[in-house]
Amino acid sequence: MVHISPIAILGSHFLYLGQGKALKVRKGLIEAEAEIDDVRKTHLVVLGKNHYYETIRSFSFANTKEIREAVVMDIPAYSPFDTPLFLMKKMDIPDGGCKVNLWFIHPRAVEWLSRLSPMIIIPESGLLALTKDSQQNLYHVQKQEKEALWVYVGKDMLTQSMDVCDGQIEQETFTRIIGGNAEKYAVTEIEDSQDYMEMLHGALMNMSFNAVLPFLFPIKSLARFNPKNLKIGLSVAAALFVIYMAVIVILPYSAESGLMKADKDITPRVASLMKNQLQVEALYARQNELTGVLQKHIPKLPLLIMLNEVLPENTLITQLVTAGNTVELKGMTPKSTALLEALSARPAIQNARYTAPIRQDQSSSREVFTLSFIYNPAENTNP
Amino acid sequence: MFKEMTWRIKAGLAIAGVLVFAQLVLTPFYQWQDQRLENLQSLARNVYKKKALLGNDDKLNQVLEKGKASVEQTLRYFYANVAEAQALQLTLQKDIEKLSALNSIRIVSLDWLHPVEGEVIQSPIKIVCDGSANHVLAFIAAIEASERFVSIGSLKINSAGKADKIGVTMEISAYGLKKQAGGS
Repeated sequence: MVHISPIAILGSHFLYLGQGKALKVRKGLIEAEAEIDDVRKTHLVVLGKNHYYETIRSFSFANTKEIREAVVMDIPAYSPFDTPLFLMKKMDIPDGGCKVNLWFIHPRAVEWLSRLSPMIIIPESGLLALTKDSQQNLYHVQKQEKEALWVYVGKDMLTQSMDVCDGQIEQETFTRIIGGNAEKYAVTEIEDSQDYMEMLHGALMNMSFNAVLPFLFPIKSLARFNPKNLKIGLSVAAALFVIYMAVIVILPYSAESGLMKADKDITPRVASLMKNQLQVEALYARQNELTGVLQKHIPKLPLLIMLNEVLPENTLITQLVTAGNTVELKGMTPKSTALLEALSARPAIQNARYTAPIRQDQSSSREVFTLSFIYNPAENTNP
Repeated sequence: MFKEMTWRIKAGLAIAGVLVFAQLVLTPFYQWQDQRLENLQSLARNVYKKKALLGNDDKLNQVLEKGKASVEQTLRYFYANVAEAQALQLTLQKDIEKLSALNSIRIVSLDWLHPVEGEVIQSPIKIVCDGSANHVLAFIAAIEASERFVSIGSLKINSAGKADKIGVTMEISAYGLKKQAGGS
């Protein structure tokens, strides 16, 4: 299976914030060195040890939000300085509680980071824990001549570290400080900055999504929980809502006032015309009502004249019944098919059909029929 | 357990709050606003109509005169000032008897049917009559060409083969306009 690191999606470069300097690292190579204040924007920051305080704490509960709230409530109990930003990586333990790696970011670094607004911030010691075979390993990084870093990655993948700014601290001293036994651990020595950056780059490229999560959007979360920002946002929303309500109330009111004024001005001038207009409307309605009565009726004379024209020779009608536009005929004809054809040929006659079986009249040798059709006077061309 | 559920309870309460706000505040407000806009549109239409009338005095008077003439023309087809439906039925009966005599038609029977009351009164009668085919046709033609509008609702014609006379049953209606209170 091909492993794609979420870090690789962001690009192959990162910013390393060291002692007063920032290193731009691309594909593991140091591309440039800059003053921290000069750096403008970056997605990924690896934070040097001198910018944070690192500790491991145990909690009797394992809920991440509760742990975060507990830390926020009493920062001085966990960190030597007060800070609005800290990162945490949790490692559950079998009895139900958990051990947590906490990284408290120095306020000065928080200021820089707020300006840079990176998507991901990773402490360098936390990143070393993600290198290959890092478990229960000691790292000694000689960054510069008098600047070094000791990092211990525990069995639970949590880290402890110490930076050495002036002078040297031996492995034995460091392991004693972290409460371990020096002989038990293998030491990985990193001799210079370039090697170290390559190592960090490799660790970044191998990070899984779960490993990235604790370091994702720390600045955004900082902003989200800022009550001042929340108040500003709510105030703006409320102001916009009030403006919107005012506009949708005032605009129709203004239009209504204008129309009422126009109506008041024009009404006396058109009073007599309005009266005439109403009369015209009343006459129109009356005319419609009366003509409706006249048009509902179907005249019978044109129907009889049309039948007289259309019936074949020697056809005798014994009964004609018409109600509405339905006509029923009973009679005798020499050839009933000819009769039906003759009727159907007229556009005013629709749906002509026999409603009873045809039978032969012995005395006259004609066919006795009963048929019905729908009469449509609008199609009748007779007067 | 309860603490873990807290955000869910908060979210539920927030959704319920939004729904209550929408139901009790937003919906009535928008209904009121819709009603107001409808009134506004109606007012705008009125003003537009009135503005359109200005300067059209002559045209409007012409339309009014034409309308009056047209209605008067149509009113001639109806029996005017009918006090009640039976009076109209009696008038119709007399007119039909006159026409039948003129067209050599013998009325066998004549019944008054139930009238239809309304703005326009419809007074139907049913007649059974007989006569020669030509006379029947002339009789029907005379009925339909009456000065007043008279309709033949249903028509039944029976012919007894070679007999000279044919029997006709038809429902004939006359239409009248009610006498206006205090009117002519």
